[in-house]
Amino acid sequence: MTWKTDVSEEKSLCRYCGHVQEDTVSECLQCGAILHQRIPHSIMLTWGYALAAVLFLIPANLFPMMVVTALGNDEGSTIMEGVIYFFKHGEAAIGAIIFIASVAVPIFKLAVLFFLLAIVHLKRHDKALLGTKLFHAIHFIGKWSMLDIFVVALMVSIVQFQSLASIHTGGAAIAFASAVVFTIIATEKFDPRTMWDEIENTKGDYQCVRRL
Amino acid sequence: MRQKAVVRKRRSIYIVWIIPFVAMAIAGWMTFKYYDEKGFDIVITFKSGEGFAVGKTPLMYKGIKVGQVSAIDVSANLTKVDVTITVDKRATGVARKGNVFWKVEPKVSLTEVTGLSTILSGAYISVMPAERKLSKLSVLAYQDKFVAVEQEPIDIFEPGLLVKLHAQESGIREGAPILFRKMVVGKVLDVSLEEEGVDYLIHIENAYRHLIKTSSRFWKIDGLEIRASLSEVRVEMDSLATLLAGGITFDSPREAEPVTEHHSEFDLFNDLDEVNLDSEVIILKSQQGYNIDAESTKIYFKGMSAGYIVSIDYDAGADETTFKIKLRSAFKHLIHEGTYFWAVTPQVGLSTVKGLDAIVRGSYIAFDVHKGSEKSQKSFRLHDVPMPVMGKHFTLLSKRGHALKSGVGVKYNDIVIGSIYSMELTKDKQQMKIDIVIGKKYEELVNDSSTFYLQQAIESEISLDKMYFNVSPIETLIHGGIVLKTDAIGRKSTTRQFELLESSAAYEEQRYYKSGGKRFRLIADTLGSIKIGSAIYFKDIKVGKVTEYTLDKKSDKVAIKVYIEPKYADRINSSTRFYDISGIEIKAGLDGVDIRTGSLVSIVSGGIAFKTPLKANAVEEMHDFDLYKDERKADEKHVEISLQMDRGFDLKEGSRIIYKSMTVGRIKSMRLKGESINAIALVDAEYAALFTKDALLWTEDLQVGLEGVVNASTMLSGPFLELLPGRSDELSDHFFVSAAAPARTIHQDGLRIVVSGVRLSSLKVGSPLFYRQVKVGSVEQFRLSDDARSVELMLYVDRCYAYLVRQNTIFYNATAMGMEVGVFGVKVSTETVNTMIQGGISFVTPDEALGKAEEMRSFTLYDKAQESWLAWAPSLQNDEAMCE
Repeated sequence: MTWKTDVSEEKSLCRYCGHVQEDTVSECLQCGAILHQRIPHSIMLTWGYALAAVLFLIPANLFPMMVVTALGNDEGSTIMEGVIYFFKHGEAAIGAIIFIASVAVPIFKLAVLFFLLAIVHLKRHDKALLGTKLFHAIHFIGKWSMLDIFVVALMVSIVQFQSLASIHTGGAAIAFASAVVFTIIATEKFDPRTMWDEIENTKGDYQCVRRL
Repeated sequence: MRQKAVVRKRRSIYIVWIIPFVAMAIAGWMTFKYYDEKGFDIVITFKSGEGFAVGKTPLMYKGIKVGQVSAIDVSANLTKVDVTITVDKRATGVARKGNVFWKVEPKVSLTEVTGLSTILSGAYISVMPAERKLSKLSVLAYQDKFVAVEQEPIDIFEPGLLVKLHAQESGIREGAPILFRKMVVGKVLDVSLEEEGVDYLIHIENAYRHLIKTSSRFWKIDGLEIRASLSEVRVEMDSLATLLAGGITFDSPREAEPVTEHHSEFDLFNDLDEVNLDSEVIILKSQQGYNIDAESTKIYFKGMSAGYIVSIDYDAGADETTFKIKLRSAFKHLIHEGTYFWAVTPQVGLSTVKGLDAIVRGSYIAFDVHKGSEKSQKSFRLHDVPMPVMGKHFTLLSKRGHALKSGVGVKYNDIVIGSIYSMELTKDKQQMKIDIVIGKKYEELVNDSSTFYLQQAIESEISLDKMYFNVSPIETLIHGGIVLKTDAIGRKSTTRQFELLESSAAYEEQRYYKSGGKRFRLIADTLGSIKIGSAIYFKDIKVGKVTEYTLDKKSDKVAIKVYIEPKYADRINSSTRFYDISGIEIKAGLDGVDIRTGSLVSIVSGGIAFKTPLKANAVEEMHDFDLYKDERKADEKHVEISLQMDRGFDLKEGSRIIYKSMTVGRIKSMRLKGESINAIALVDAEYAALFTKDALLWTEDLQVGLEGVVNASTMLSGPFLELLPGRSDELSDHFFVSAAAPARTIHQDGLRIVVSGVRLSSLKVGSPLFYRQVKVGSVEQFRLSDDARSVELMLYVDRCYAYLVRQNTIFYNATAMGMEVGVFGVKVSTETVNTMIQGGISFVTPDEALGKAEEMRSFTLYDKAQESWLAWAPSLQNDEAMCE
């Protein structure tokens, strides 16, 4: 162990106001917020949300994102179909953007999350720094992952020519949105500090473990 | 407290896991739904994949998308296209055995436009399940390979009624409407060729299914119906749909039971006529086919369409054609032993036009019943000549054949009442004998007042005073025809022979003659501008016309036949003079210019006028008259003489003047003038020379005497004037009519001598002069002698007997009767009994006769002859050459 953690130093950080104090107190001496040395149940919640996101990604990619009704004929297109459509029609840039925003990024984020969880569980402290960097990266791009949903929302609102042509959301939109949301929550629930902790904390709550 | 909190916190940890579970549930559900909705694949084989697009073309059921084309592949043998369709999981019923798939494309057919929506949306595939109910459908075997049908199958589940119709032949297309009272109540769903004709499957809409009754009868209707005949062309058009695809209509007896079961079978008739056809087939056999077309040939009964030919077969073995015909039920009863069938075919040749109607409607078969019979018969011989008409025969005589043929109709008021049966030459080869048959019920139309004339195709008459056109029907133009006219129907019918007149004009003329008009012949040197139809005028009234003219070859004169209307016919008598008033006559002389014309009509078309100056005796029909060039010539024909008489002698206007039994003139008028009567007589110019200055005129009247009855004719004709022309060359126009006839001898060549007697005794003018009781002369005149002491008689001795009178001849009165009474009785001596009454003079010449007595020599007339005179017998020689 070449590094110190708040746990080893028996300190506790108030995540609300950033005040550092002894970990014997349960409420922040400065702001009065309840103190948690780590995000409660961080790993478990991350697992849960990440899994939910993964689950949602499946229908998100199977169902049509957007249904174009032209002259009474419904034509749904999934995310990948849309991407392929743009690439085929020479709009590689748009295709790339959609692909990155809607396919690559969500999968990347989830992959990173699972990587981080693996670091925690396998106590690969050597990867903790990389994990932290990756964590911040996915935390940063998380807000952009709803791009596809925005595109669909825009299209649905703009292309409404009644029976001639109209666009409405497909089942994938909800699934995709859910997947993104759950990915973001999972990211939020992940406490990167756990990657550095010595103790295996399957339950994610040092206090409880220690107190028991 | 802490303990409590821990417990709480631990619990909440597990709650966290709900989230992925929920997520899993949702995602899982969605995924399941996705795969569930993605359904299963079926493969349908189409003939072509035209219009299909992978991922686009839907599979529809009742307008709802139940699947989508997911792949299109060319089938293994490269002839067809296998279309893979991903079917909604919900629509498991799609993949059941017996389901039918077809492509729906925009289709513009004759009767309808379907699948219009697919023009924009593209073709789609439609499916019709084999069963109506899902429970039944799901029982059926699973199948995922189908072969698409070409056309939309019949939706057997559509509410309504499916009816099967059998027809002999097609002609109605799919989609054609079923009409009931011109309302569309259904349509033809399917046409299929069967062994015996064509089967139609028709669908009747649910709302109208009750209209189909067990005894309903279906027949085809054509959108366009053109009926053309000589009399009219009629074009009827139903809806455009029926025009293009045909249509079916039906009738439904109200009381019949409605049909409830699907696929009830009915017969489909070709038309309404055929509906009424009797089912029984009648067989006609013939040696030839008569060019008869089974399709269009009808059977006619008295001109009414009575049936159809079902089929025509030729039996090569028997060399016989068999016609199978069907008749309408209404005519069924006419078919029995006494029915006669014959074929009517148009025959147009140089000399023959027959079956003209058949030209228009084609050869056809006609039948008629020639005798009533109850005995049923179904097989007949087809004759090639029409049934002989049953009726009364009459004979028409005509000078020409008029191109008439047997079979040509005889019409009465344009109704055919009979026909020509046969034609032949009479025995003397001068006339055509036309045997006609008049139908039984028209027999009474022919009687003695009937006239037959030849109907001419075009009758026209154009003249200044009228224009007349009468165009007969085309039939007559070719056929010719005979028209019967009967003036008085119901009159007795005694004759069976009539004359066939040439034309209706001849008929009209004959009608005139029959009504009392008269015909005369006018003889003229030239015809002038007179032609047939030229009018005859009397006092400028049109009273007749010229009917005919001929050149008399013998006399080289023109004989003009004229007809005078009955009410003017009595104006014609023997004194009538006809003269030509045609043209303009201009006479220019020193005394001026005289222009005479008749009416404008007579100038152009010629005209004849006549005048009847005298009341003369009537003339017979066809009496010959001379036609004078003009009125003046006609007038010159007569010479007027005036007659003076003491009494009227019962003479009157028109009384004749006769010379040698010939009428030479007539009294034109009589007028009382003072004490005497003045009469004007017209004398034919040619006899004017008879009226010499010394001519004598006297009245002849009925005389009854011992010698007989003289002038008996006057009893009928009344008294007349007798003329005795004189010897003078000088003519006179004034005469005195004496009451008594002059001596017959007057003005005759002969010897005249004068005898003087004591008294006249019973002698009178005309008393005979005898020589040896031979009459040789007569008393011509007598008068008292100048001194009244004697009577002087002028005797006329016939020229041939003049030599008997000698200078010493003695004359004695032969009248005197000698009566001698003696011992031996009474002796009566007289010349003759006649002389006893009439008186007479005899003469004797002594044996020594002297020379011939000279003219007007005087002799003494003795009262009686002496005995000795009678013994004289001189020999006298007649030297007169002319008398032997």
